Amino acid sequence: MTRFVSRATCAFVLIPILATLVAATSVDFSQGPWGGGVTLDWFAYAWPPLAPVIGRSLAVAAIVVALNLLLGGPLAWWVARHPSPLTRLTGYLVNVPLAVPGIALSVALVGTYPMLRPSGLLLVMGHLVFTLPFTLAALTPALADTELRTNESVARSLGAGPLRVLRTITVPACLVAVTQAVTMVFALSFGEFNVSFFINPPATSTAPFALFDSYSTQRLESASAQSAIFIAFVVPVLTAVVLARRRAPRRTP
Amino acid sequence: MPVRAPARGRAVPGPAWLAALPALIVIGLFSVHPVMVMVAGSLGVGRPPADEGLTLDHYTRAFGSETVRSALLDSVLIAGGSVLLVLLVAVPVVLRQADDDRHGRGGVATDVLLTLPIALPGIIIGFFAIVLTGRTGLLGLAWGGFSGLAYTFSGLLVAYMYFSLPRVLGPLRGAAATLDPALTESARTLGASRTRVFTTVTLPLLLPALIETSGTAIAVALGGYGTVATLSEGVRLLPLNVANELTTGYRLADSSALAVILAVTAVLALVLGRALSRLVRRAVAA
Repeated sequence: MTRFVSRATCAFVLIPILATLVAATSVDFSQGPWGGGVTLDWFAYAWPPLAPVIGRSLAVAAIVVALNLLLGGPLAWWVARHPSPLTRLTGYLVNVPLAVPGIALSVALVGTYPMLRPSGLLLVMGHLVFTLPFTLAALTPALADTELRTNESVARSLGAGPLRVLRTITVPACLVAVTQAVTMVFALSFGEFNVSFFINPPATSTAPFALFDSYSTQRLESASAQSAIFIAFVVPVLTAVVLARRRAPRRTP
Repeated sequence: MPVRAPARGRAVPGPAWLAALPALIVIGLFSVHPVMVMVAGSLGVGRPPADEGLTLDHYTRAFGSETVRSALLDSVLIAGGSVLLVLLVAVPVVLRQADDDRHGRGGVATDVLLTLPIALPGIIIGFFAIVLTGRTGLLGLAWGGFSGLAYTFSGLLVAYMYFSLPRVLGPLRGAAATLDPALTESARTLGASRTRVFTTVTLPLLLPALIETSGTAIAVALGGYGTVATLSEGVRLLPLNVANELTTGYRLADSSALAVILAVTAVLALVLGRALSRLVRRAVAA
């Protein structure tokens, strides 16, 4: 029974993706699956304009990941090592973008900082505050681990400097959590649409907006090819997310 | 040694919160402050050119509008309904996953597939609905009733189920992993039927997590803009109204008021889920 439901759920997720592939390889999808024959022309047609946009999305995601580690790492360390009412309040504030719907946050950001929109800075900042809760959720439990703290204090008492402790003890112990945070943040930023809606620089937009545009202006076959290309970029990142999660000693929500 | 330890502790440069300061500044500037500006703007207290003095006009206008009221109702029904429907399949799925994990069986492919929708923007999920159940959709060929379903209430419901699936499965899986298999096994050996074990042992133990997860997932689904944006010619949901106030004529205060209503509804789902879950947890423990 449970096996049947699991298989059916997997099919529920997979079928639309396969259907999109069928549409993307049909000459004329309105005549049915592979109507008018099978072709890869839609992919050839979709790729050249999509390539620079995907490149931009990958760059934004990479910057957002770097900022997450740079800012979120020390924040998680503080929350994990110095628990107080202040860190609990911080926890609530960090999670604001989880409670406030993306489109509402987008309205708030563009209403407050319209001048930061054209440069793309507002987009990066929007993605950053939207993804920080995930970094914090992954890193804080790993940094709070008592065994890690014991190892660190042993290393320190043996005379290792703070940088050496960080490099040889803390970072290796948190590697799985860091991988989890990095992959999840990358995937979320790459596919982000709601928060980005009003804050993406109109002239140089990201991949989800190219898709959204083609959904309303292009043929179903071409839009399907673009969607399939986008999904092809998401799947490896997501596989990394899952592999990191499977290696984690504890499951984080 | 005992003398050296505190000296080392004092050698740490600056107080610990200094490390967290850059992140706190970013969160303050780009999350907390904009939300406060938005709330103020929705109450008429905008930046100088838009300042009209404290007023509830934008809210009375929002709630006075028939389209906004029906969009809010549909939003709540779609978000709540899709999450509840997902729960029905999620419980057997996570129990199977927990069982597989315990025996070291679960495949990576299944895992990736069941997590995938979380990384797909809502617009792609809306597009899936068009490919399968749009006017020339694939399923429409099998049965005419499927054609055009994407733009109806039930079509949207199924699309939001796709959206909510990984957001329910993720947290529930963690809860299912903590269930002690010995409990169900001993109930079974004492002669209880499978159904009885499920309703009297497994379900009550999972219930707090089920409720909390539902609250969170409903909150996220309420804000799910992309899916309905792709299917916008059909049923209208509140996030569409929020966006429309800005895209058609930049009425920031009206858009802010709708965004605040949407946010409050989402926070309500979140808080209600947490509170109910705590209540049930106490009841189950007693």
